[in-house]
Amino acid sequence: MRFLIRFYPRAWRERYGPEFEELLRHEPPSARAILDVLTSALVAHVQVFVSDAASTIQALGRVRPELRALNWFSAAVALGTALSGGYRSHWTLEHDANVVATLAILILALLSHLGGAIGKSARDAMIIIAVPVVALHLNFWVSYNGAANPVVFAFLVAMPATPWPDAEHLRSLRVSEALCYLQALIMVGTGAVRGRPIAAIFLGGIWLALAVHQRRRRLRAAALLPLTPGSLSLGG
Amino acid sequence: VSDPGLLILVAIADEPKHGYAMLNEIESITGARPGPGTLYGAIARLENLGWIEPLESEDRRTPYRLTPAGRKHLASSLRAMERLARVGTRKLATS
Repeated sequence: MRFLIRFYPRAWRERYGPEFEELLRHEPPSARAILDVLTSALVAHVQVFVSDAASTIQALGRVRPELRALNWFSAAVALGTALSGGYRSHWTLEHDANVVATLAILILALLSHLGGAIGKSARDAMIIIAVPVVALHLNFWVSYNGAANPVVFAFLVAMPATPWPDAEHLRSLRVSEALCYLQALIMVGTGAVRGRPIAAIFLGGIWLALAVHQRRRRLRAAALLPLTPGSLSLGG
Repeated sequence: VSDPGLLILVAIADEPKHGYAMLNEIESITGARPGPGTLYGAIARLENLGWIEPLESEDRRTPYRLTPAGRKHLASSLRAMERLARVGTRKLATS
């Protein structure tokens, strides 16, 4: 029965694996016991997901003040777009939503990329300059080319391969991960509404893959952090 | 009583026990043996709540003991169950 431990989340295995394996060694194998372990492993995965989602929401509330202000601005833009969309001759919610989500992701990518090298004040100045420049170019690009956003892919790929083992880096990875999930939802939703299921699945899948990639990077970065109270929780 | 968390707290109320000893103790109290996944799911939850804490592992077995908060919670739960049993028994007798 010991092979069943593999079905548990990694953080759980690291904490309870040896002692749980020892317990399973003494338990007689039965269909009921196997089902019990598999069900508990599934519950542990759900707990990790819920704990992770809660941490992500907390991280969204703790990002730097200028980024938080921009998020509010983005939210206002998205709301304004949604409210005014019905009165426009060409309602391009898909593009507008992409611009908003993309901008946020770009800024986070810049934060991650520049923060370790140039210091916080220089980075803040860069953000203030970069936001309108990127916004103008991206808006032009999106208007003519649709929703694929390869520019964002490039920025995400350009994020530093060696993570800084600090809490701020983890937060930025969490936020970009959350935004990738959001972008995947936007892609699937707009594709489905516009009757383009293949595009919805393809583009949504790309963003989902990026979110999973970000998640892996975050977990790797978290593993480099020194242990703190609560770091052994299932939130991994 | 079917809450595995409460059963674990009762099982280790007198002395620290590791997982296998907990299963045996719970089986002797209730007549039913919880599954190993259920047991460790409850152990993880109780540890996160700060009601139990691990001691140093012995031969890959980790004993757990009640924390003061866990002891307080167990006492309060048992008092509540006692009140419930008293009221239920009285109502049954008068019906």
